[in-house]
Amino acid sequence: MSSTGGPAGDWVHAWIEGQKTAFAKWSGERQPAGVPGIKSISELFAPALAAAQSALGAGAARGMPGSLGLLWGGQGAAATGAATGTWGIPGVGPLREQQAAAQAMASALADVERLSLEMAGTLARIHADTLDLLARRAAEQANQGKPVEDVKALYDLWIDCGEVTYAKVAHSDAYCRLQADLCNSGVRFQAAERQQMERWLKLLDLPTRAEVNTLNLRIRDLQRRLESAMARTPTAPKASLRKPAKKPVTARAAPVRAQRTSRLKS
Amino acid sequence: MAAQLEGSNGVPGGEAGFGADMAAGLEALRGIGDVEIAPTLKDAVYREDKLVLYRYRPLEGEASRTPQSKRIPLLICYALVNRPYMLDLQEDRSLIRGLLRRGIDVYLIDWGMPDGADRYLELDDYINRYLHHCVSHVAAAHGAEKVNLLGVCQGGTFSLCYAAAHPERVQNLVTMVTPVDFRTPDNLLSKWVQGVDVDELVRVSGNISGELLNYVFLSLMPFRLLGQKYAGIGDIAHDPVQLRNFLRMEKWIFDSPDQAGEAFRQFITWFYRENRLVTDTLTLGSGPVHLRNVTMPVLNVYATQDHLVPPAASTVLKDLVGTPDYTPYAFDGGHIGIYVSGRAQKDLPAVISDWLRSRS
Repeated sequence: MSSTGGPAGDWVHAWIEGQKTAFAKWSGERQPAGVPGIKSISELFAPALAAAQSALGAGAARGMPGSLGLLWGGQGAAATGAATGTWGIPGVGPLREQQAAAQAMASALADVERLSLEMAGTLARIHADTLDLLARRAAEQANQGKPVEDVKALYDLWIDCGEVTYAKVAHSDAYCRLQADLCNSGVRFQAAERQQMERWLKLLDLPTRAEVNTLNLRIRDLQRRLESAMARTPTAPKASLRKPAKKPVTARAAPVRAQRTSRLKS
Repeated sequence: MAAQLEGSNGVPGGEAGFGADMAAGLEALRGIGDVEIAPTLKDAVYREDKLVLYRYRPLEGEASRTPQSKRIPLLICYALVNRPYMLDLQEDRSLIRGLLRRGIDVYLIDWGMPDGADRYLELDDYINRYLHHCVSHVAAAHGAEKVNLLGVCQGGTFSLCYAAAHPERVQNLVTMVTPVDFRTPDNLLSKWVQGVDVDELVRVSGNISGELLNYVFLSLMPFRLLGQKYAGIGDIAHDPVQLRNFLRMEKWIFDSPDQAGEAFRQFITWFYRENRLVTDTLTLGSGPVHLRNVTMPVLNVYATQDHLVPPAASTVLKDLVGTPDYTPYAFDGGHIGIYVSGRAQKDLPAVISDWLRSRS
């Protein structure tokens, strides 16, 4: 890397090496597969999960009336099962459905965790490869008598190298697949969460998203039928049920003025 | 940058120089205050659900509108993604002002911000209902049967569909940075969505949040869009005008509407996955949409460095439309520059107005 010297000396090389060292320190020792040694999500959140499981399984259930307490108790039992490694066993008995739902959620979360780590590894490799490319580009420039002259120039070169490295990966089939899988597993987890939430809301006789959706669909259906019927009526307005602006704003009315943005909003 | 100063750590220019510029930029931002957007006066002339149709007033000091109103007006159909005030961001960055200055009577559709009640809106609703009603309203207001239609980005795709389904209502069609072929090899967005279970995503999420879409767009070029752009603040620290321009852009970029779930699902499936415009298999509502039915004159404006709508995704239009009067216009810039760059302000209003005038 002495070739990155020139008028600026070896500071570029030193900076790049410093970045590599800092990154290695941040991500810990690399695994054989090249994935940084980031602790698993479960491991990181183990104390919190344990506390939640305890509350779900015992205290929370005792404090809740009737079927809601039973449900919370079921959640706690399922979560405890997940923690003790029995969560892969099909549920039986009166809490079978609750256990199955909790198992689906745990399975989705496990997928999210696995794929998140894989993504983190991929992004870490992009970062490392970017620094390697930066070193090569800086050396090339120095050899051509155009060394990197200041921090801003080095930063801009790092950006260029980063985009080149990232684009290669981002366009690859493997990355597209990984990103889609991560998205899909997140959606599966969200679906499982919502299923649980809807069950609780029903027990409290509160409206659920599913019910609101049903109403929305019925309104849409009615709206279409009405529009269709009106379109067949000779005297009905042709375009639609909708109106022009209640009182069309004329050029004499107050016009819409420039919008002022909040200073910090964006 | 004080490039030639030797920093204490041996870095030419010193890390302190870079840092000082950044600090100055941040300090300058602190005192910049509010910024105004969408400065051109306009009147709301039609509303439907969350949609508002605006008509722009003539610019002060410009020719009276009376003779213009007898001309066929121009209806602008913007995308559902992002807000339409990008076309009138500020006085000196406004395609709309450029068009008004050239005597064009301009209408603009603001789709509004969808919420949970809009999750079942379909593309058919947006194109054959909302857009159709706007066209009808504008045409009726001018005693005409047809309007000139300008579609921008996704709004261009909508406008193409509309023009194909209702060719009798469109006098001339202008498309700007409009995707037509969604499966070109350089389309990263398209590659990413192929494996996503969009049916389940929409079923579970309902509307698709603007924040999610922002992250997707940013991750197309993360080093530039999340790093370099902000590091550049130091370079404009001493220029309040540029700082305000920067803040307006930030406002626009992140002022992102949610996407009505069903329309999003259809758009991803039918366009990004199945590429139905190109394969000639698109149906909206009860009617097929064939681009060969686009028989009116077409001006297709695309950006040569567009990372969202690669040129090839747009230029294919020439081979698909039925009109013999097809005019491509290559703008040397990117997807954002085509709205706000100095060259865009100088060139595009003139290109569009001259093209329309020669076909009026």
